[in-house]
Amino acid sequence: MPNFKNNTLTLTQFSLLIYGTQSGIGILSLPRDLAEIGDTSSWIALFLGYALSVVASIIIIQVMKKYPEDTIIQLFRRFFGKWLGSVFSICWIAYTALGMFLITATSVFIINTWVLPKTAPYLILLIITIPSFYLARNGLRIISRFSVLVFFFTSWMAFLFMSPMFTGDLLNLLPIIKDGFMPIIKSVPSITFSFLGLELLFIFYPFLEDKTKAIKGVLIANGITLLSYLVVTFSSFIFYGPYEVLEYVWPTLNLVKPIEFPFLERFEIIFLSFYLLILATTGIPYYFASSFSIAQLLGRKDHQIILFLTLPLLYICFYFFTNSLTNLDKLGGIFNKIGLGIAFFMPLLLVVYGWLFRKVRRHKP
Amino acid sequence: MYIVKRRKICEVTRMRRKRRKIKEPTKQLSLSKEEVISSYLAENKEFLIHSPSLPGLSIREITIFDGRSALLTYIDHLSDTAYISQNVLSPLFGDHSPQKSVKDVIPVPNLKTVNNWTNIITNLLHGCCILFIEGENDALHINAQSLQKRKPDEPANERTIRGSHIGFVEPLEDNIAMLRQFLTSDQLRIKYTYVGNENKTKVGILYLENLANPEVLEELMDRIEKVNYKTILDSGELEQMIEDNPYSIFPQSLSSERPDSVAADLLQGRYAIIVDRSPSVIVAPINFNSFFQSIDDYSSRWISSSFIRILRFVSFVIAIFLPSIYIAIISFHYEILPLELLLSIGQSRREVPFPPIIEAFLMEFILEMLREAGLRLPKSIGQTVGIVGGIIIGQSAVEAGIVSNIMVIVVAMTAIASFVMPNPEMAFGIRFIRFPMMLVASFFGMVGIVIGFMTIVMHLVSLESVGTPYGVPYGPLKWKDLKDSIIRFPLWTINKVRVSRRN
Repeated sequence: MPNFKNNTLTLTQFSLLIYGTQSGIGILSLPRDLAEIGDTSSWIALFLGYALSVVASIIIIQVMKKYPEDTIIQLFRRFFGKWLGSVFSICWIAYTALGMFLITATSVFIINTWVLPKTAPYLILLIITIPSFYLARNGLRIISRFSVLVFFFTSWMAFLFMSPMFTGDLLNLLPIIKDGFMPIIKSVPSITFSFLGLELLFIFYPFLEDKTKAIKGVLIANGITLLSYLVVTFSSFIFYGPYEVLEYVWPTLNLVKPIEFPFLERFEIIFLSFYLLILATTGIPYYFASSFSIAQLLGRKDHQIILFLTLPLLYICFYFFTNSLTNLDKLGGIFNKIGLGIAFFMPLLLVVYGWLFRKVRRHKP
Repeated sequence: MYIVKRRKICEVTRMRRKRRKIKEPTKQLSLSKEEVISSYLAENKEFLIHSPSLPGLSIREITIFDGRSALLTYIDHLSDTAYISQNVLSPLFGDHSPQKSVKDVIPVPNLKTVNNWTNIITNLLHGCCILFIEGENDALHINAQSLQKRKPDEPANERTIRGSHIGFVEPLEDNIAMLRQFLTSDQLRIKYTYVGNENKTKVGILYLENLANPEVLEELMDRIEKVNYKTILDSGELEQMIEDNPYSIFPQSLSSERPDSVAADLLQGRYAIIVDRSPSVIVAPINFNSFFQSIDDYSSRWISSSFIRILRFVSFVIAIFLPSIYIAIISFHYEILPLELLLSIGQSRREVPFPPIIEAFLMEFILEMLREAGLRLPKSIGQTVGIVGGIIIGQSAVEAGIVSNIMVIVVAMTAIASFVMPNPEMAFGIRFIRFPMMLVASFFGMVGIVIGFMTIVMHLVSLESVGTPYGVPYGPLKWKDLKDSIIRFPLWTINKVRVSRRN
């Protein structure tokens, strides 16, 4: 058993940890994704996405509530026995490892294209992974402390994103619901991707100090995520209009570009460098989750050694991966599809299975 | 909660430390503890004369008032001879009725009896005077220490504008007495222990029973007792032995020579560790914020002290990041500067043949050298070093085209900013971090700086001081404690927090 007792999270830490995991990469391309499918009124779909992800989180909590000391790995073993459980656990680990790789590769790509075009991607990978590994080797409590700190430290960015709202044209938001509700509903799946990160609740939940506050924490986390998405979406819709948004790969980052100070031009370089902090709060939980899950699967208390073993693995994977936008998009698509299954459908199945499982167990003690 | 996990990690570090160090064989005196003194003076005298551990022992045979002979021993210059002759010898020679016991005659406040040699030798080495009397199984032990003391004056590196101007001195008891002057509370507790294999040093741990966290005390005592080291000569050595993370560049306990600031820390539920013969007192557990606080902040008005606090945080950032930002901008992101500024920088860098990293390293290194050189020189020469270094080298380096004007400004600003830090230990940490930051900035520009910043933040968040989080109130966010951080709120609003906070 890992020592959850010495690593408990408070409500603030819990919710901001989830928030950090959720928002990071999805937010960068969100306005474009929305505009592609749902046109001007697709922001309404954000609320639907919020509702869906809250429901999914609550279901996850319902699954975990019965066994408050179990992480997903132990739950799999309890439900499906040693062998089948291990197979499921390996799938879960593969998913978290994929998340870890995807976020790292995306960060490297962003930095390489926007800030350091002449530096080799390898070196960027190296410099990015060092702090991530340094933090992830600690317990979840310390990771969440960092997430909380980063949340407050980067809150000024919200105002930055808001500023284009006042220079743009509000008419860009109109007409609302021009083609009926279908486009809105169609854009819901692409929004649920942006709320991914909540599936790490399977790992975080046992660490929460006061389990009764879990639902509250999830509501807060998803709420802040929704709020930040709304700000970014409105801002880019108002500033660019529904058609110009489509021209940018990452419209969110382009929002910052026009900002200038009398003593500072090309502010986005500084902004993007600091955006690394937010990317770290997204990536590090995946680093932790994958190595921690492996440690749990192997019955080890300490996940540090495993984390250090995954470091060369990450480098090797990166060597075989051509870091281009299309590849990242492909990988992201795969990750999102699996994530959708893991975050939204698996909890449902687990709830039903758990209910049956307990019923059967009660009959034959 | 933090403590339990901490202890585990601590044990691991301690094990590591133990492995690192070769155990010193503890040298024992060549006599067993049970060996007691004889009632015959001659035998005792024989033993004392031949004892190898008592050089400079002065032995005087006397006949006391009741006709018995006695042996008065002490070590020259360790004991106060005037005190002995006035309070021991003259009453013993005086006119008393023979029925009176010797104890009743000697007018000293603390008079003890000892009868085993180990104790006697230790006491003699501590400057006590021992009186053996013919036919008695116990010897008398009179405390006649003559210590070299200095007057308590204001500590040179912790000057304040307001507040008391007294500083700790060397003897442990004097320091405790000085602290007691500030803290008359009956809740003050003192725990004594001895540290060192070769040479035992007395260590006192002070705390306020009603405020301090008992788990921290347990942890602290445990660590101090497990110290495996020859001799602790200064509190700085003990500080390193009981630190949580010895590989960190950030100090995890505070040392102060001011009784008033130590008293203020005790009032926040912290522990003070006083090492005998050392004027700087260790305060633990501490957090990152404490290094930005000075006792002066509380005696001046809240707006002005908040301003000073902000100044300190800004200079913390400047001292670490300014040279690396310069390097990052010059070598990577010159496009973020407005054109006019870029042109003027280009003008001054035109003649410089080195890349900015070499330029910066050169200047920063010279600066550190100057500072170290000026530190130990007499005051009058120290000023000359400053003039030579600052004016002559700076000016001529620019004229010779080795460094740019802007670089000189950057270096001077970082130097001034690092002097702002009230704590020298923290200031040293900052001076050191600057160099890796410059390296990272020269490789990765702004990204490197943010990565460096991130690593520092992560390190601070994961550090602990005696099992309590170091990053309080930022790392684990504590809203109430934030009142006494970057902005110092009016005293009446933080008063409650300061007293009731348990670390």
